[in-house]
This record gives sequence, C-alpha cells and structure tokens, in this order.
Amino acid sequence: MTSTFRYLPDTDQDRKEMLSFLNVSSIDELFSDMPASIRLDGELAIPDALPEPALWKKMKNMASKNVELPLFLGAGTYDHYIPSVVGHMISRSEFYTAYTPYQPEISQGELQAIFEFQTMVCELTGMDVANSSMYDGFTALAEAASLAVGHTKRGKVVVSRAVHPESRAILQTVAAGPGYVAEEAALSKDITDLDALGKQVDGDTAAVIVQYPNFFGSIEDLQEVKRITKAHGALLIVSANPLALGLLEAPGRLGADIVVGDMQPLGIPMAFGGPHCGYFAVTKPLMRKVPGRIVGQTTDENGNRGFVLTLQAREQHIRREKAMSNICSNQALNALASAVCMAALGKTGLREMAVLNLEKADYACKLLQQKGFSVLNQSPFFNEFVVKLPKPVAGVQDALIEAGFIGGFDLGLDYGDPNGMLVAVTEQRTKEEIEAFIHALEGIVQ
Amino acid sequence: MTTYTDLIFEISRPGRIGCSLPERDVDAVNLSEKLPAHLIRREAPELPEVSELQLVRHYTSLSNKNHGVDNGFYPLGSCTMKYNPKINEDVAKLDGFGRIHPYQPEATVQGALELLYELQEDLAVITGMDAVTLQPSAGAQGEWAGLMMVKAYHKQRGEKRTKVLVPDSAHGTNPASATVAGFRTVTIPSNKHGLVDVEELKKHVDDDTAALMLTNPNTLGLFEKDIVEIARVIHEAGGLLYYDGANANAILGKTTPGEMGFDIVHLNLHKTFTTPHGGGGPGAGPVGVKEKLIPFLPVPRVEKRNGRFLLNREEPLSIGRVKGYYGNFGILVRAYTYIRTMGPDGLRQVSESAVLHANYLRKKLEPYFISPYEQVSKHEFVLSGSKQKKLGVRTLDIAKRLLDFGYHPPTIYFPLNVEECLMIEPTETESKETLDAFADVMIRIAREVEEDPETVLNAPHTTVIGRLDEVKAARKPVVRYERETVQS
Amino acid sequence: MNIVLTDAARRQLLAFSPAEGHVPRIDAEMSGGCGVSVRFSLVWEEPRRGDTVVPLGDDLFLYLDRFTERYLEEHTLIDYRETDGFIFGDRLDSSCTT
Repeated sequence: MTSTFRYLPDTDQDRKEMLSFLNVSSIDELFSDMPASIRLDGELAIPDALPEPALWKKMKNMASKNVELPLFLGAGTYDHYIPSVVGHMISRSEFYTAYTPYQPEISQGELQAIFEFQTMVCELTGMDVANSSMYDGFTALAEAASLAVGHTKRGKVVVSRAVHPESRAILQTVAAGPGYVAEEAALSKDITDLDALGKQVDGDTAAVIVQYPNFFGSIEDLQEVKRITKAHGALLIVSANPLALGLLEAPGRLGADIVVGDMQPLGIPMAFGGPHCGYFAVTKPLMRKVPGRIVGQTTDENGNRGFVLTLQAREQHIRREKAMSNICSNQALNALASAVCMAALGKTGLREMAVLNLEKADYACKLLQQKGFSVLNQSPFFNEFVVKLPKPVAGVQDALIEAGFIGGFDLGLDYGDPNGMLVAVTEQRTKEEIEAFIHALEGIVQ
Repeated sequence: MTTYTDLIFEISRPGRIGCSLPERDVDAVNLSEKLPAHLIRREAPELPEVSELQLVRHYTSLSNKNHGVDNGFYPLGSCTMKYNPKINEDVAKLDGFGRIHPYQPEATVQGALELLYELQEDLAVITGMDAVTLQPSAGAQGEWAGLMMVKAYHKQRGEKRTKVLVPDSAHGTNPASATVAGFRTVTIPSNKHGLVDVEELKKHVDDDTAALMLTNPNTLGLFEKDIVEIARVIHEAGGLLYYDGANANAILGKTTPGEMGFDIVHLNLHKTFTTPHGGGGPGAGPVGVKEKLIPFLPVPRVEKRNGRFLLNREEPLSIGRVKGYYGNFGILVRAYTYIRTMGPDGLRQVSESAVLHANYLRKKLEPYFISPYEQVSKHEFVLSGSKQKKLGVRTLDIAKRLLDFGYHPPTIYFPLNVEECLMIEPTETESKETLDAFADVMIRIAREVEEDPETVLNAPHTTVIGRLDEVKAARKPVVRYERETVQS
Repeated sequence: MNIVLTDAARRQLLAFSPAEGHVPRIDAEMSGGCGVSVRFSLVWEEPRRGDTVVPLGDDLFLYLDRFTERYLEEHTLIDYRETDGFIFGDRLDSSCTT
C-alpha cells in the first residue's frame, strides 16, 4: 500500500528495505509483543481523513460559526491590539518547532528570549526574580499559594473575593491535594474589606492574595494589605494585570512577596481562553522555591556570554516525589509573544496604552452615569467597572448581540448579583462604539 | 560574519518605539486626581525602546540561533518531536478561533464548542475511554487532575487510600504529580528485561493502593507485555490504573489504554498529535476516564443537547476546575485539524511507521553501542554509552558532538535505570534517508570515541557558542539583565 | 582544582581494600528526564582513558574523568559519614524540565 499521507514519507520500497534489514516479514511482527486480547480488530471509529482543501473549507466553516463583535467583555481576558510584528516573530519555526532548550548550544535564541522576558517581568512587577512563565495566570496564583504554604509551614491562605472566580476555583482544587485551607476574604462593595481582613489574618496564615486591579476593575490599596500581612508574618501575593502596571505602582514597591498574573493583555490572542501565559515573580529570598524553569546567564569556555536553564543547588535526593510542584513546562511561545509585544510598546508605549485604557473606561463610565445608570465601583478603577442594570444581565445579552455588541460579564454567575454587568473598555473600543453600545443598552433596559 | 550577541536592552535608545497606538478620542484623565499618589507608578518599567525593524532583526537573529524540527532531525526520546503541520497553524490563526472571548454567550461560539465536543469524542475513541476533559494544559497537569479524580473516587466509596505505585522507569513528573495531589509514592523496580516486575509489584499492592501509574510502552520503548495481569492485580486490590500517554505514538489504532485495562489516561497533544512544542509550551494534556470516573471530571464540561453545544458547570462530585476557561483552545484546534487530516487509517499508519523506524535505527546502531534489552522496540529505544564511558567519553560528549552534524541529540541520562542512557525516538515523519544519515553519524562518532576522543570531548565545534558553564550559572545566578552588571 | 578530604573521608578511603586494578574515583553522574541533575559519588573502578589523577598527600590518588572535572567545583570538600557515605557539599539540580 502506498502512503497517501503527506506527513508519512515511507514508500513501499523503504518499508521493504527496512523490514528486510530487520529480518521480519511484516510490520505486524513488530507488534507481536502486544497480547492478542488487547489488539483492536478494526479501525478506530473516528471520521475519515480529509484532503487539505476540503479540511480547510471545513475548518473555515467551523470558525465562521463563531461570532466576532466589538467586545465590552473582559473579566480576565481582554481584547487588545496585537502589533503585526508579534505574530510574525513567533511564526519563525526555529522558535515554535523547538522544544525545551535542553541543549543550550543550539537553543541560545530561545534561552536569550526567555532571559529577556524574565527581565521584562521583573521590571513590570518590581520584583527580583521571574520564572520563564506558567500555564496561565489562574494556575500561577494557585502555585503561589502552595509556595507560600510550603515556605511558611502554615496551614491556610486568605484570598480576597475580589480575586477572579476561576483563580479561586482552581486554588480550591489545588489546595485539596496537600490539604491546606483557602479561606475567602469578604468584600466592602468593590474592594477587599480591609477591616475584616485584619481580623481574619492570623499566625497560621501563610499568605493573603489580592488582585490588582481586582475582578471588578478596582484598584486595591496594596500598601494597606501589606500592613496586615506584615503584622502576622504572612506573605503578600498579588495577581496583577501586566498592562495596568504601566501606570500603577509596581507591586514590588508596595511590599508584594510574590506577583503573578497573565501576559494575555500584552500580545496574546484571546483564543477562547487559551493558551495564554502565566507569569510568576518573587523577591530574592524566595528564588530557590520558584516552580517551573528559570533561565540564567553564564559563559562558555571562551568567556562568551550565553544562557542556560539554571541548575539549582539542592540537597541529597533526586527530586521526583520530593518535588514541591509538578510543573514541567512553560508557555515559552506565548512568553515570547508577550516579550515581542512589550518590546514593541517599549517604556513609553506601555504607559500610553495603559492610560488610554483607563481613559476609555472612564469615559464609558461617566457616560453611563449621565444616562442614569448606577455604577458599583467606589474606588478608582482601571479599564473595567460594574454597572448595575435595572434588569438581569442574562436577559440583556441576546439583545446586545442583535445590536452588534458583546456585553460585559454577568455577575449573577459567581457573585449572586444578576443585575451587575462587569464592563471592560480597552483601547480597541472607539468613542463611537462606546456611545453606540451605551445607546443600545439604554434602549434594551428601558 | 560576527554572531549577533546583543540583548534587546542593549540596543534600546530613549525615544524609539516599535508600534503605534490608536489616537485618543476621549477626554484625558488627570491621574493624580483619579488615583492616590502612592498607587501611581513613580518609575516607568525599563522596557526596551526599539524601532520595528530593530525588533524584527533582533528576534530573527535569535531564531537563527535555535534548532527546531523544521531545521533538522530531532530524535529527542519521549518527546515525540514529529513534524508540526502548517495547516494546523493556519487554522488556529483563523479569526473565528483566535479572536473569540471565553465568556461570550454560548450561542456566539457554537463552532468552538462543536470542535471541543468532537475532539473529546475522538480522543475517547482513540484511548478507549468513555469521556474526556480537554482542560489540562500539559501532561503534568493532566496527571495531577487524573490523580485528584482517583482521590475523589476512593473518597466517594468511603476509602482513604494514600499510596500511588510508580515504576522506576517512569517520568519524574509521575511521582511529583502524586505528591502534589497528596499521595505518597512507592517505586516499583523494573526487572532485567526492562519491564515492571509483576512479582515485586504484587508485594506492594494492598488495600492502601490508590493507583498504579504506568507508561505503555514504557520509557525504555518496551511494551509491558504483562499489562493484562498487572491490571488484574491492581483492580482486584481495589486500585485504579493510570495511563501516562507520553508514549501513545506507538499504539494508535493498534490497541487502546482502555483495552489494556486502564481507567484514566492523559495524552500529550504536543507529542502524539503534532501540536508544536513552542520552545517548551504551550501544550495540552487532555484526560480520559472510564465510566465510573465520569462524575469526578473537572468542570465545565462541553456537552451536546438537542443539537446545540453548551458548557455544563454543575456537577456535584466534580474535582472542580483545574485550569482557566476550557483548556488551551488554540492547541486543541491544531490537534483536531491533525486528527481530521489523518483519519483512522492514517493514525494507524503513524504508529506502524514510528515503530518500524525505531527498530530499524536501533538495529543499525546496535553493533556500536550497548543495547540493553532484547524485546522488540516500540516507537523509541534506548542505548547505553557504558562502553564509551570506559574510554573516558560520556554520553553528554556524544550528544554535543551530534550538534556538529546539525542534529538535535536524543534524550540523555533518562530513564535513570540505564547507565549513560541515550533515548532515541525517530518518529514516523522522518524519511529513511534521514535515519540512514543519522546512523552514519552515530557510527562515525563511535569510531571517533575510539580513535580520536579529543574531537568528541571538545565538541561542539560548529555551534554559535561553546559548552556553557552550568555550575557558574547555578552558584552565582544571574536571572535578569541589569545595566550596572554589564558595565562593570 | 582543589580537593580537600576531611579526616573521616581520608580514613575511610585508606581503609578500603579495592579489587585488583581498581582505583578511587570521583564520578559525576547525570540524571535526566524531568530536568537534569548532577550527582557526585566516590567509587572504586578501573582507570579510564584520559583520567586526571589528583594526588592527596603521598598515600592517596583520586581519579576523575573530563566530564566530572567540568562539573566539580573549584574547591571541593569531601566528607564521610557512617549514615550517608561520602558527601560532596551540594548537588546540582536543574529546575524541572521535561
């Protein structure tokens, strides 16, 4: 049988030669070690192969069943412009068809790019050390909690209810493994209730986790949270939107011990939720406890600068079951995408883009208030805020789609506030779109 | 030609920019009126300031210092570095897949949900499982999610089992995942044939055994022939069988983990199903389970009711969420595209060719390196460099010498039970000519070890940089760029 | 390269009676898979081609191959304890990388 598959190069002749070299008569003989009782009789019951042109049509058709409209939806994943240069750079197949840089001599490109990424994350967050990336911001947060528990040898973490619901959900799943407690801290309207938090944190608290800006877009006062953690020797873990850090004070400057988050706002497509790219940064004392990989600088035998995955001095046993984390990969390609995006924006571009986001959201908020809508946020917010609709959000979404928009996140889902809509306004939304959206919303709720 | 060695920070000059932002069309906001002073950034982060062309030259230069599958043979054992089809990339980049938001109303993402649903169904068939979650973002996360389900399953039955059995040839992530899931690990030694020692296994199986984690074919590339007996032993003791799908490239269409008796499976879509490794990620690690474990699968689940696709977030026994949203969707799109490209016939041929290639290459190299096991190989095989070690040349040196010929070396020093191990996985997508040329180079290096060891010991000779001082990197870690350090 | 033995380590090395032709060697062993780690051990083995021989006083010679030399630190202190055998300060592990 001749191969009809373009990814399989063996010809009949090749097969014949290889089999004859092996002194076997058929490929089946090479599977003689699989007991007959477990061998499949027929072919797998999956659809037949498609030629590339037909497949392309099918996939385009499938993609076209998904609706793209101007988004006023964020809640952790944001519609930002991705400079064309980003896609071109990560499409260099020397990057995307490589694996983990085990052999540094032929992986200097990847290693240097990640070293630069780590530096950019340190700069953004004001931290000393960043790793080479994590699965996503949500899982990075759970890893940070586990690190804090391991480091302090304490039994609970306190996580603000204004932290993303999916982060909190994953944290609960993760905590069930080693069996530590993840306790939620109450809200005072749109931010963490600091008075209640002060009473909740105690000598068994490994860490307090807050989000910056929080899930409702509001900016938590990290300095005040730090006062509380410091008093009890707990770590401060901050989950931060990296774009917001263009204008907000770096968490590292406000006392954060671990800063995590997702680089998605900087150069990574929304892609229905993934792959995105978590980041993880710590202060120097925690460096040796960071999960995942870190790239370090060194020299070769001739003194030339080069980069390697850092070895870490550890004791006694090979880690295996002694590991504190099982994370073995990163999101290298997306870390690269965000590094290219950050370099394209640069020092001033990042700030300008952050300010633009804040201004557009501010404009939308003020306009909504003018039209008589009430807004939950009492604290300053970044590019997202909660508008209270006179009727449930669930009933409004379809009408908004009819009007040509995708509305905000329904707070009925995780916060029991069916009339609360979390509206995101990025630099992608023009003034006209904002006005048309609010006009449509007015019409729908009347 | 001089090699480009600058860091992006070193080519930065104040005032340059590499992108353009939209114009401000709304009122400016006075930040100091809006935010308290201590929350406004005082010093801007030192991001590089470069023009777009500088940016392109920089990353193009870096890419030129990187070896991927598109550059050359990459027989990295256990990693399945097969060809990454181009149409997969194009499909994943379609706006209808790339530019949709995870919280859009279900009615506006029917195409995406349909793809996820069909991929779940396909992977269930391929693994012989009854249901699949696509949420885990990597093999290790799949392992952990699977073990959390094991835990929930036993708990539901009123049992608290604490022990997970792992063979000594297993990937290091297996015991690590077991620990993170709150189990203790017991290591089962392999016998002299490189297989799980069933008698030894029986000694450790008891009513505290939660699960056995097994890779089949194992990391030595050998099929665990006693799998049916192994499954019986575990199940009779009330334990579950976990299949590490790292080596699934050997079994497509030939058998399934379900047929073998496994209860839980993870697959690495970046290995078997051609999604690119991306320099270390992103990947995807879907998990399939047998019927009795379905209630414990993570939420949300993609379901089909009355011809519509939807997300089910409510399952009382679920272990909960393991990853944001619905998994690494962009990777799942690529794997789906691949499965539709190959169909059942194609996938079976994949495994047949992968196995043929491994055995062919193994036989070519056996006269020159120690081949520690008799049994026929599956998709990969191991060699030992113990003969070369006696001549003062180690497996790492051989690996470095391979770089001079444009090959990525095999996986080295793994599995741990083979001295000076070389683990070679040629994959089905390489041509016979490539296998022959690689064998010739390996044989040449084996001769060099005997006749001209200095050439091997001082390798690589042709790479952009020589062997790097890893000890220095570990003792005095420099993990970020700092202006001062470079000037001094 | 500066290798220093504690008294306990020296005593233990001198007390051992090796097989014919075997010499004491510091050997670096690498473990791969999920990351790469390097571990040192003291073994008695036949000399390998190209070994470096390090004299430690008049009565003791330690052998090491080129590979081991690359990974051994500039200054290495070797100790011996009943419970743990020979100890070489810290071992080196990479971050987890499969």
